[in-house]
Order: sequence, then structure tokens, then C-alpha cells
Amino acid sequence: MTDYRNPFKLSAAENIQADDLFLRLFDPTAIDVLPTDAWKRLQILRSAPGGGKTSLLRLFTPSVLSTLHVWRANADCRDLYQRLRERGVFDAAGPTLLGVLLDCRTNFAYLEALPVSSAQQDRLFFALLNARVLLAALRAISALRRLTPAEFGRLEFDEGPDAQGTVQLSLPSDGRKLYDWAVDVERRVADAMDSFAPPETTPIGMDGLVTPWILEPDAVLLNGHAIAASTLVMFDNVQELTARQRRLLLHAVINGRQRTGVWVAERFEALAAEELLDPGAKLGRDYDAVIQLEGRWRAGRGEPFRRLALGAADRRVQSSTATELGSFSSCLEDGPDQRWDDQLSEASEMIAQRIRAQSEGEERYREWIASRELLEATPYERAVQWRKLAILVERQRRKRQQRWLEEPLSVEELEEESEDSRLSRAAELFLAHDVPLPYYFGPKALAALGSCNLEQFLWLAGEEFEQILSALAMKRAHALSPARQDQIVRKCAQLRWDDIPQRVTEGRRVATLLDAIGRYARGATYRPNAPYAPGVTGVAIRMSDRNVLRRALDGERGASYRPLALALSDAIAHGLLEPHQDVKAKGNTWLVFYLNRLLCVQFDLPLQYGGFREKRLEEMQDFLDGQVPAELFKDEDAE
Amino acid sequence: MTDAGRWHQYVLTTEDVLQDFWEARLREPGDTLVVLGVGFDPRMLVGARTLLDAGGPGRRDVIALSHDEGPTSPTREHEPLVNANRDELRRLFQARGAVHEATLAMWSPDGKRRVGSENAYNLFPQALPDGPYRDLVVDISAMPRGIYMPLLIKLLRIADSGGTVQNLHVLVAENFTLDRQIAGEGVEVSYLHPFSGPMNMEYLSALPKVWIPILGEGRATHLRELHYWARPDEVLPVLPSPSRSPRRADDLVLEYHDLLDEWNVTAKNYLHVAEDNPFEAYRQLRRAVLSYHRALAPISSDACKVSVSPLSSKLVSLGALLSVYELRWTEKEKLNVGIANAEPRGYSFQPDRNQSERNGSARAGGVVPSQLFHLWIAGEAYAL
Repeated sequence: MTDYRNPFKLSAAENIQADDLFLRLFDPTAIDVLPTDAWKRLQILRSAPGGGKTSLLRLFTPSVLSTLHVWRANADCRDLYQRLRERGVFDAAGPTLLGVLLDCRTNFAYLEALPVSSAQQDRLFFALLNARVLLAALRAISALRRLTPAEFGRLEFDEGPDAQGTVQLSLPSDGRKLYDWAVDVERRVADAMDSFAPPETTPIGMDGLVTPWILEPDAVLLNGHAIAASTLVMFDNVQELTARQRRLLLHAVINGRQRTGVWVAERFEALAAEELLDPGAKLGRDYDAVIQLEGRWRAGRGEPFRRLALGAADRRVQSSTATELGSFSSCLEDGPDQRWDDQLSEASEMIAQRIRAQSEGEERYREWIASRELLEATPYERAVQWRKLAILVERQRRKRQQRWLEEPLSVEELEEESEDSRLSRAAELFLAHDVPLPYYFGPKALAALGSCNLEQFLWLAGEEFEQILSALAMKRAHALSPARQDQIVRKCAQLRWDDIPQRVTEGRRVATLLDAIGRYARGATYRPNAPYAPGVTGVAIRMSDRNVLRRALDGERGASYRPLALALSDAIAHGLLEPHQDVKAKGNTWLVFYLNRLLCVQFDLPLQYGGFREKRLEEMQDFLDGQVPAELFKDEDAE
Repeated sequence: MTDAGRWHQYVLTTEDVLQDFWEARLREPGDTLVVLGVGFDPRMLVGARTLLDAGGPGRRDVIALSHDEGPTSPTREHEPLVNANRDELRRLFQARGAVHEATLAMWSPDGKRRVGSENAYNLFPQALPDGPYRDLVVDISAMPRGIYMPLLIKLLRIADSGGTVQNLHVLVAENFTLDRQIAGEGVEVSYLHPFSGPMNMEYLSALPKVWIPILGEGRATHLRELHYWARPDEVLPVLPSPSRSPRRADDLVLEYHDLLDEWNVTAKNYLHVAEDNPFEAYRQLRRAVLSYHRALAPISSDACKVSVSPLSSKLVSLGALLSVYELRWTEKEKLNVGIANAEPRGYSFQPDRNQSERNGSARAGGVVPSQLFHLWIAGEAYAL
């Protein structure tokens, strides 16, 4: 038996071979992103790599559903089973859904290298696609109804509503004949690809996608009974098709769908650069079929993702063979550490001295300073309050330069200003930066660092869990201190940063752009008056400038912005920038590019969203060149 | 299928023996065609110079293959080095034969799909000049894997089918110092053409999958992407042993221990191959693939699917190529083997100023020089 010492390492669904382990590690809240009738309709699932698409798809395959039915009373699976049963995926006898999963990471793309016309390439594509859907369906049926390939002859395929358009596929038929037909098509197309000789003269092409529609629930029978109450055909990794093939597939499933549900799962990189900057532009009426996983998880200030991530973490901790711990969050110390007290007292004193020195001889801040001197609180609270005061004094001094205000400030005014939660978060950030103290720790911060990407979260959590396991092995306190958590997160952030040139298509250019944005965000965040509390973690362009970038990609006007548009779309495709569209601010609508939260660590930035600075395309161009002109900060002083 | 294998007996030369071999061989009448890659790599002309220095009668023609990585490739930054190498090539061969130039597009016009291996595979026999050439020498020193592997496969197929290729040789200049100065950017993973067929068959998708990554340093991202691509049931990492550095295999295990742990690799999974003998790598890989097929054949006639991923030196990669070629193409029982390849979008090169390949100055400057290897892989040597 495989020893799952650290099950966080099994982050991707592909790494989990056994269905029962997959189910034990699958958090039921993951299906909340899907409409309740998702398996009866067209859904396009998109995310950056590691967003959780393949796990969702795998859940609906027959072997996983059958295993879930067997394990339905088990505590790890009960909730998931109930949710799916309520949605009609199960009845008392077992799964009612036939889930057919086809991975498109195969050699479809090579068809476009064949020395034949593009029309013939399209026909070959459909022939191969139809054959592979049929083979995947037969595999699914054999898993659902426990048939061996030798028994495929018992399956009856009726004439489906759209099957008349086929050239070689004759229906009605039995499963064995269809299997032989599909294997023959696949072999002949593969021979044509490997030989690189012109394909044989006998046409093996087909005019369109038909096999999903011949799988309609009442059209496939075993012993005279329907195989399942509903059928779902899932195309995974569609980004591996060529742009033309992807268009053909999308067109076919949008226009041809009947009662068979169809899901298309793809990474953002499937989209052309202009689509990444303007998602949905090419889908028209079917845009509501698109589920952007990160976007769904981010709703409600990221609470859905936090629940999913920490739930998935707990399940992994419980599945570890190296420990009997029950909860991951309980292994992470959260909150100020008593070991910091001396440093914090020193820091409070230094901040107080600085404020006193700056306001020497001024009556204006006397009451504010006195109130903080009398404050009874923990060393951490005191330090934060002093840091807040330093920011507020700086803000007042700037106001004063503008307005020549001299009146002494009251304690009531201080308390009113201090209640701003954004100010508190900025003070905590500044304090952590000044002392320095750990900043990136605790379950909530860890979930935020996942940036709504489950794989990223599980990687970080897995690194922390490894330390917990080591502590347990050495019979030490296993809960990770904030300092250790912060160290691990910073190490991971550095690794992810160093990996950009290798991982991303134009990695160096993207890294230069991100570095400039990060440096600029840090400069804007750590201004003494914390003008964008708690900090800046993104930059924004006008929606109208977004169109300039799109035109640059189309080869129209503004071609000089093409490298910028490509770098931005590359960064989005790899989840390094998170685009938020149509954000309203200052009387305009903006496209905001937030840094992936893990990259924020590289620049000591906070993890909250909301802080962004508007930029012109010329300024973005400077970022692409690695420049962060000092004038940018002067502009902000003037604001 | 015989246990000995096609290249059980082989011709591999290096250093002085290599020089002696070519002097003796080129002394005999006959023309020679050299196929080499044009690039910034200082090793590009090492093999060509050796052949010219060997003297002898007959024409020495060249097919110089450039590869176009697209307008935004980081390789473009090194165009002055590429042009200097190209000019030097023309100068070297101007009195000895014709230099034919060809460019292979590495990416589809929309820039989204790597097509270099298909184009390389398609190049011959159409691009072969009128011969006959007694010897066809492919110098892969400045060629990426996605080019030289399909190119050699096609030439082997032509040679094996009695086509225009009489004797097929491979030259490779290995230099680990230089290798470290060349860094890839961006990574694209695919089954190398023409090995994609059986690996992608849906009707074979239920077969057990075995993945054999040949480990080299600094390839964690590539390994992750390849593993995701291959989705193996079993992983057999290949370590270099014996190696010039006795600790190299241990260091590689340390470097990737997280990944190897994740993939449940245990001590019995490792294969060891000599780092400087491609035929030894060929033998080991061939034996491993055959063992799996024989063990699993009673369960299913198709047995299993095996993909090999070379991430180490070109020499060991050649061994992998020969084993996959033989198992897939030349044996009666064609096995489901393929090459899962990870290649960068382009390369950045930070040359050491002391490093020079010209006129032996590298040796004089105390820098490790390239070591040239020669493999004779088809033709008279195997006729008996």
C-alpha cells in the first residue's frame, strides 16, 4: 500500500490514483461552483493551471461515482453523497449519470500539420473526435455497468437525433461494432499522422460532432433498459487543441447540444490574448455558460475559497498515515507571539520617540500622544496603536501643509480615525515591516495566499505540513510558530518567483513587468501616511485602454503596445495577474490587474484586494521596460 | 524480439580515436554531407572543423538548419553570435562544397503550438541534395532535442528502407560548463513527433503507463510538467552512473527528493546508465521497456505504454532515442513507446568570456573544452 505521509503532495487530481483516496480528499464545497443542473447543460470551466477543473470532472466519472455510492455512509463521503443525491446524480440503486471524460491532451493538434486542405483537416478532426468520444463512452459504460469489452455487443445504440449527418457511422448498431469502428478510425488517423504521407484516398473524415448526441439517455440500452438517466460528456484540457479545432468544438457543442450535457474545461491559455483581456467577447449569448473558477471562489471576499481550501487541508491531514491530527488550522499558530514582546516594547518606544520628535513644541498632537502613553494593552496592541498614531500624525501634517490648520486634536478625533479597519491593517503591516515581525501566518493568511488556486494553496500548506510532521517525528510541539510559517511562505514565494522564466512562455519579460508592478506597489503602500491602506496590490487601466491593447494584438493601431498586451495576457494565463473587470472608481470603469497573492510576499505587500492604482498605458509600458519612474510617486503626493 | 538488440555491437569514438577514425575514413573516395544546426552555441562548428581537418578527397557539402523560435523568442538576443557562426561556417566550407541553408519554423503561425518536430521530420528526403553521399553526418551539438530527434528518426527510417542514406553518423560536442551557461525560458511539453501515435490512442488509454525521466540538473519545472502530461502509474528515474562526478546521482536524488517522494519512487525504481556512453543508455532503457512489456503482456496483448523523457545530456538522449526507435519501428512487435519532451520557448546564453572553441584557445585559457563524440548508427558497420 502506498504510504501517504504527506497527502498535500497529492495536490493534483492526476496524482491521486485510487478513487477512494480521491473521494476522501475531495472537499464537498467544491461542487458549489456548479449550477444544480450543471450536468444537463453546456458549461465551460476555465481557470489558470491548478484551479481544480480536472478534480471536478473526475468526480462525475462512473468509477468515482460508483465508489462514492459504496462509501456513502462513510463520514468522509456522506456530505458529498448527499449533495449529489439532492441534485439527482444518484438514486437508491446507484449513479444515474453516465459521465464520459475525454482528455484532449492527445495528438489532435498534429492534424493541422498534415499535407491536406484545411477542410479535410477539419473532417479528420471530427472523425477522430467522434471516435474518441465513443471509445471514452464505452469505457465509461463498462465502468458503470461492469461490462468487459467482450460484452460490448450487448449494448444497443439507437439512432440518435443528430446521427444522420455521419458519413461512415451507421446506426442503429451494437456496442461491439461501434467499438471496432472507433478503433479503426483512430488507427487510420494515427497512421496518417505518423507516416506524413498524404492520407489514404478513402475519406475518413466526418462533417461534425455527432457522438455526444448518440449517447442521449434513452438511446443507449443494455438488456432493453437505458444505461443511465442522463449523460454528460466532458472535454478536459481543451487548451491543447489548436485555435481552429477549439473553435470547431465550441461551435459544435453550442449549436448541437441536445439532451446530453457537455462540459468543456480549459486553462486560460486556451484563450487568445485578446480574449484574456476581454473574456466572453467571443461567446456571445452563451457567456453565462462560462464558469471562471477563480472568480467564483473569490466571491464574498474569498470566503468560499477559504472554506474549500481549509476543508481540503483538513481532509489531507486526516488522511496522513504519519499522524492522527484532525485539523490543519489547529497546527498553525495564529496571532501575536509572546516571544515578540521585548521587540514590540522597543518598537513602541521608538515609534513614540519619533512622533514626539516630529511634533516637538506643537500642541496639536499633545492629547493624541498622551492617550497612547496611557494605553493599557498587550505589547502588540500598544505597538499597533502607536504605529496607527504615526500614520495619522503624518496624514495630519500633510493636511496642515495644505490648510494651515493649527487647532489641537482631541482624543475623540483620534479614536474616530483609529476605528478604520484599513488603517489597523496598514499599521500591522508597517509594524511587521519595521520591526521586523512575521506577517504571513495563520490559516486565513494561508488561504489568501492560495490566490483562489487550490493547487497553489495545497503546495504552500504541504510545505507547512512537512514541518509539522518533522516536529512530530522529533517529539516537539507540532504547532507552527508565526515566524516559521512566515519563513516557509517567503521561501515558497521566492521559488515561485524564480520559476517564472521557466514556467511562462515569455517568462523574463513577464517577470520584468511583475517586478516593476511589485516595486511600484511597495513604494505606494509604504508611504508614511499610508494613503491606500492597507496597501496597493494591483494596477488598473481604463476599460477604453483595454481596447487599445486588443487592437494592438489584432495588428491594428497601437502596435507598439503589442509586447505589453502579450506580457499581460501571458501573466493572466499563468495566474500571475488576476484581472478584475469593470471596476468603478473616480468616475471611470477600470480593468484591474491584481498580483497573485503569493507574489505579494515578494514585495512585502498585504493580501487584501481593493488597493489598486490607476495607470496610463505609457506608464504600463515603463513597467514592461522594468522602470518605475520616481514621477509616479510625486503624482501620488499631489493627490 | 532478440535480447541483444540492434546496437549491441556499436561504433563510438571520441578524442584521438575519433580524429584517427575520420582521417582514415575520409581518405577513401566519396562525398560527405554534413547536417548541422545554426545557432549561438559555440559548439556549432566543432564537429565540422574536425571533419575538415581530417582532409581527404571528395565534396564536403553542408545543410545548415536554422530554427525560428518566433519574433519574441529570447534567442533573438543572440543573433550577432548566430550570424558570426554562420559566416564562419560559410568561410570554412567555401572551398570544399556547397552550403545549403534551411529554416525550420518551431511554432505554428498563431504562436500557440510547437511544430518544430513535425517540420524537422518532414524535411528529408526532399531537402537532401543530389548525391550520392557516402557518409551523412548529423552534428547535433547546436540543435535542440525537438529538432535532432525527429530528424535522426527520419534519416534512420530512410537508411533502413534502403533509401539514399548509406552511412549515418552523429557528432555531438558535450560541454557541461557551456550547458550551464544556457538557460531555457518557458516550457512546452508534448510527445515528440513521430512517437505520438500509440501514446495518444484513446482505445489504449486504460493500459498501465510507465514513465522514464532521464534526470538532469535544474529541471524541476520540466519534470512536473512532464509528469502531468504522462500521468504515469509507475516512474523509473534514470540516474547517471558511472559519472565523472561520483556524487552526481546522489545530488540529483537530493535535488528532486520532493518530487520523487510525491511520485512514490522507491530505491528499486531507479535505473543507472553511464553518462558518456549512449549505447549503454540504449541497452539499459531497452531492457527496462522490454521487461515491463513481457511482465504485462499476459494481462493485455498491448501490455503497457512507456514514455521516455530525456532531460540530461545529448549523449544519453541519443541512447534513449535509439532504444525508442528500435522498439517502436524496427522490431516486428512494435511496442507502445514514445518520447515525452519538454522544451523551452527560447534560450538565454551568458557566455563565459574565457570560453572559446576556436583554435584550441579554450584549452590554453584553462576552460573545460568541449569533448566531441561520434556515433556511427547505420550503414556498413552494421552490414555483417
